Amino acid sequence: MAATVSAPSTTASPVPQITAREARREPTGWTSWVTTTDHKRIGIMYLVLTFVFFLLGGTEALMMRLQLSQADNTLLTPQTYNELFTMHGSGMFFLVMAPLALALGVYFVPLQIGASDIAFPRLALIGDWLIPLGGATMFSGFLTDHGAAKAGWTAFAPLSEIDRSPGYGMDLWIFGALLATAGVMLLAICVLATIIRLRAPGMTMLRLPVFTWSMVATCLLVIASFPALIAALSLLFVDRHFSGVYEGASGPVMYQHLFWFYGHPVVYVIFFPFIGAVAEVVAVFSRRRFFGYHALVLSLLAFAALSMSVWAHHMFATGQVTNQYFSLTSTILLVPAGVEYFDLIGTMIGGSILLSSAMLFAVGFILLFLIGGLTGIIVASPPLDYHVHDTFFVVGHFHYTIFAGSLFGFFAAVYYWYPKVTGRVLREGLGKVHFALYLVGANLTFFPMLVSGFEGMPRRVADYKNIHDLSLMNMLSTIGAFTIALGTLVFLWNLWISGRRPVRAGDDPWEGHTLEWWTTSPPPPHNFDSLPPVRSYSPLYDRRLEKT
Amino acid sequence: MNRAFVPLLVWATLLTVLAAVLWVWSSDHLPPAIFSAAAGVAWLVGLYALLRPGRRLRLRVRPPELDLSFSSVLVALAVAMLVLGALVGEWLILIGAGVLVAGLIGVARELRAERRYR
Repeated sequence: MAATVSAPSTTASPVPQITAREARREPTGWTSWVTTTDHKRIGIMYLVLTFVFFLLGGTEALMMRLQLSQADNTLLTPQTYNELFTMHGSGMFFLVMAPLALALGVYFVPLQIGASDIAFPRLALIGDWLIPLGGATMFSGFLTDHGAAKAGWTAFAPLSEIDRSPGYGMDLWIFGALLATAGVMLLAICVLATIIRLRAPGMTMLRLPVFTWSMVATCLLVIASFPALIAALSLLFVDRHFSGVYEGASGPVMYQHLFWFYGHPVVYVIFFPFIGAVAEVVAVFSRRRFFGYHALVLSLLAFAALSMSVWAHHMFATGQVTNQYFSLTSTILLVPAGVEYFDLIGTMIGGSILLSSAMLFAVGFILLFLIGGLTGIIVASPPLDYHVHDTFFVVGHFHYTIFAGSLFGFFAAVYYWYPKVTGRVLREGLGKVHFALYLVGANLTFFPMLVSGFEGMPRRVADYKNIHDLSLMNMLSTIGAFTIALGTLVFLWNLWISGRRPVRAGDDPWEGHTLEWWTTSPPPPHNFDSLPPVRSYSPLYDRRLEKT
Repeated sequence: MNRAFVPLLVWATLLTVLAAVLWVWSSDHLPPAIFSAAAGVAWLVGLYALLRPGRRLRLRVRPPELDLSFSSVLVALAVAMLVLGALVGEWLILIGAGVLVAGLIGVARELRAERRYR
């Protein structure tokens, strides 16, 4: 049952270099899903699960937008509103975006590097279970006497301490966040170990596909920064029940340092995989090899390192951080970001661009993340940050990066890789409607937030007075949020209709550049029956060139 | 030779330099201390890549039952019970500990079976 492995060839070869001798049947039944160590099934479970949490978080967002749609609204009580924004933010970070980013890696990294499996598959399965267990724990707070947590997704001390946040809801939030974070860390360890140890012959580090490189940066960030959150939240639990940890003038600042040491890198954890996916999409749908590969690799590593050094720009308003250092590093971040944009645009220039749904979402990602990045310059500068701190400007800024940026990248990945995962294609027409609704909805929701925030509308309040046209801005945001919801329904309809009336995709419908397109769609349990020679970061593109 | 360690060590060096600059610049010890700890973790990851050679590729074709691990699920449930036990009570911690032992024994047996197959 072993496979034959030949030495990597240095000359053009029309025949595969590695071939498995036989195929095998796939396990069936629901237990084969919940106890699977197959990285593809684990990845699919994550994707489905995180999408369920995404729908939950989206529903919370719609309820908040209804409350804010007009001044002096009484639809929700302030307590309910506080619970909703807390669980919306927490759910989206801990249960949706970070696991989603890793789920893509769990599924596609072994396929992109020619591995037959993920490293430490049992650890990945444990991580797979810890995330829903964490989610269930977190959301079970709604069933307790005092309701769910309401101290925001940051759970700043002293707001999250026992006298200000009494009841089990806050404790359940802490444990839920701990379990989900531990789950994501286990996944990152598995993905990084896979890249380090299980690459196919010829797949050197400088031949890794761009998406896999983005996962290297992602996993490094997770492994180096997420332990800070585990420490912060464990200490918060101790503080709530035994007191003394975050007391005194420096206690809350200490919590913020620990929290933001996780809280800023996590933004990049949910950015890098999607820029990696977008890079793949842009190259494939421009019919060109990715431009500036080595610069991108260097910029990813520099970006990841710098993004670990900027966390206290969230704390300028405390007056207790070294503003010069954190402002400088935050501004320097623009350099690697600029390199990545330069590479993406450079790939498109001169290419034969095909505006598929995946490509449209990729372009949407590039444009909208740019707005998120440019508004980031304002919050990276202390004097400007003092003006907009804790206002809706910040909410608009990070939603441009996370929703309008990363989620567009995610949908680019969905439309691009769906045929590989299922063997079927999503409907292109519905995909374009989905894109249009998301593009309009995202700008209609988040741009008015920048304006209202600049005019001074504070975040995390259930009510406001109608000054400076705040009612108009909020009504626009609410209409935008429902436009996004409509776009999500179109996507779900696309999934449904594509499942009911499948259109077969074939193994490589887009003429992909990387190894996942070499195998069947969907891939067999052992991933590959054979592997081609790998002589660059786009081995299948090489083969096509050789043939012509 | 597996050179995966090179970019990882470069990254660890970058973190170390940034942490060192923060030590010089910051009057508070906590921020550079947290950052230095993260740099230490990055060095450990780099050393792991340096010391663990890449595995020889095998396109594994093996019995499907080896791809299932009920014991890992038990371990995950046990971890959740142990953590929640701090809130719910000692009894849940004790059950969690028992489930954890059962799960770990199961995982050990699965790994042994897998090694036998290889």
